[in-house]
Amino acid sequence: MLEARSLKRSAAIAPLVAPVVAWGLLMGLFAYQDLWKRTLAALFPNQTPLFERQTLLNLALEHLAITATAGLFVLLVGLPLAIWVARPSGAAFRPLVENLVAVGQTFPPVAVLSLALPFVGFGSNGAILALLLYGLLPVVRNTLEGLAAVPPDVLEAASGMGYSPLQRLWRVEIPLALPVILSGIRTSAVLILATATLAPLIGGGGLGVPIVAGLAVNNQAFVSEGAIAVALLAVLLDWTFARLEAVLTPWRAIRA
Amino acid sequence: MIRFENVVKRYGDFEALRGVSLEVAQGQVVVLLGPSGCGKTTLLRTVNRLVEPSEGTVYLGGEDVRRLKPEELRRGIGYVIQSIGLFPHMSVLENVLVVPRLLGWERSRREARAREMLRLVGLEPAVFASRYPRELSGGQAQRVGLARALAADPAVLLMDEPFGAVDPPTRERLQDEFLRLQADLKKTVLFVTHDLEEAVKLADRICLMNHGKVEQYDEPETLLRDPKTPFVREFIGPSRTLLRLSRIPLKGLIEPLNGKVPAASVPLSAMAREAFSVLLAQGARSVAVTDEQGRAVGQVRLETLLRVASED
Ligand SMILES: Nc1ncnc2c1ncn2[C@@H]1O[C@H](COP(=O)(O)OP(=O)(O)OP(=O)(O)O)[C@@H](O)[C@H]1O
Ligand SMILES: [Mg+2]
Repeated sequence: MLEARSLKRSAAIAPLVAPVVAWGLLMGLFAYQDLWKRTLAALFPNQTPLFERQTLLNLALEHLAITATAGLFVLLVGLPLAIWVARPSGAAFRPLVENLVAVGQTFPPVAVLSLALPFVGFGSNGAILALLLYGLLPVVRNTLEGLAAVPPDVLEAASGMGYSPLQRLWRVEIPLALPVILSGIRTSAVLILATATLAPLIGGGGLGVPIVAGLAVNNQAFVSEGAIAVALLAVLLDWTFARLEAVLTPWRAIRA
Repeated sequence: MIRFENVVKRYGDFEALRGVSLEVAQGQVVVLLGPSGCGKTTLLRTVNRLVEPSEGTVYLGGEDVRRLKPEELRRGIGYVIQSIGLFPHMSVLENVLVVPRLLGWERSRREARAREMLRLVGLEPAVFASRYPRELSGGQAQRVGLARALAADPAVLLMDEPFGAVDPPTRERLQDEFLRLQADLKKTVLFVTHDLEEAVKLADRICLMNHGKVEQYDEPETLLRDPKTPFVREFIGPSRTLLRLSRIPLKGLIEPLNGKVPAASVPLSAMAREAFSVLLAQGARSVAVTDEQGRAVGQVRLETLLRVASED
């Protein structure tokens, strides 16, 4: 019995093996400075081919750290906020929250960055705050949408079985809203990852550094180095989240 | 076991229940019957407080249901809803053990119980336990809904058109199984339907409702023989004779075979209606009655059936 259960569990996380391997490979590729140098030199023969102040791997890791931190804050703020305004107790604040997060995203990120500057100072912290504001919308909106889409008959059955309102939220509403919530998190993560290239504008690090430097000195090789790396990360991140969704919501899968 | 005392439910100006008083005895199946919108579901849901009456009181086992916390009250009542409402993210087994888990049963006990319940409703646990609801047919899902309601062994079952969403043959099979289960379990059941035939088949007593009021509350035989209001007469309509036959066991109508055995036959356990259908279909005047081994033990004549159908 116990064996069967752990077997089932390991079968369930099997789809995550491929993404883990892919992340390892991508990091290996970033560490392979020489390959990048030769490729970029071939593409842009008249320019310094590679940004030399920091290794690409370092830049990528820094970029991921900024993205992950901002993403974490998005979850910490966005999920409770959305769940709260979706409940009767917070319903009065729902329009306000919905509008605020929408405004947060319509603001151009560059403007948010520069407006945040006086409060948080120069460096990655300011970038993280700006990215937090920018990434909230998909998470909040999808959480609200997901919770609203839970079928009414399931809610009635849950109450009828004797779930308390809080138990119903945790054991029925959130699990059922999870696919939609996860796709919001996925959108937000990719958005933050891409927007984090602007971090150097207020003194932050990451893959935006060679891009900004390249733009300043008119070096396309630098720009390409950063841009290609970000694109690769974005694709892999998106795919990883897709796999994660499948693992976390096995009940949606069609089994053979 | 369940007692409604002058229960009124208003939604704005509209009165969904207009003073319902009703008593459901322990171990009985009471069917709430009536046209769509007459308040059956509303009345049912006052028992587990999914609806709070505007006036009046509901008693369960002699106690006002408002004295318990809604969650605790509901964990003690089996509830089957029309649209089934299985939890899509839980396996069949997990669905069935929801209430035992809420009641804090230990894991091995509640899993054993859930498997037992699945077997009881005719679903082999080895096949169905780990399936998700979307991998079930409508009839199988209904069974899981019933197993889930029975899992914590509640004394009271509320069933809102539990067999509404399946095709007629499946419905009939589910009804038969419900009767077989009920003969053992002896739950107090409040059962909603708008199908007269289903009501007559399952009920110990029928409560026929109209516009939020009780029109007549009687045993099916009485309701069919003696409709108290024009509405009841109209609702039952011309099929009442046939329906009365479906409540009469064949056993009491059998006459000895005198020599020749009629070609058509029905089992001894059947109701008079089945014999009548066979007679009509075959154009015969009498039908043989067979025991479990298939031996003819007597016969039932058309005249007998016609006489009991029109008896008052
Ligand atoms: N929450 C509500 N708000 C307003 N009106 C309601 C509400 N719930 C039920 N009603 C009304 O109360 C009346 C009785 O509804 P109920 O669901 O009890 O009918 P029913 O007899 O179960 O019908 P059906 O056979 O169609 O299920 C209906 O007219 C319905 O529109
Ligand atoms: Mg109803």
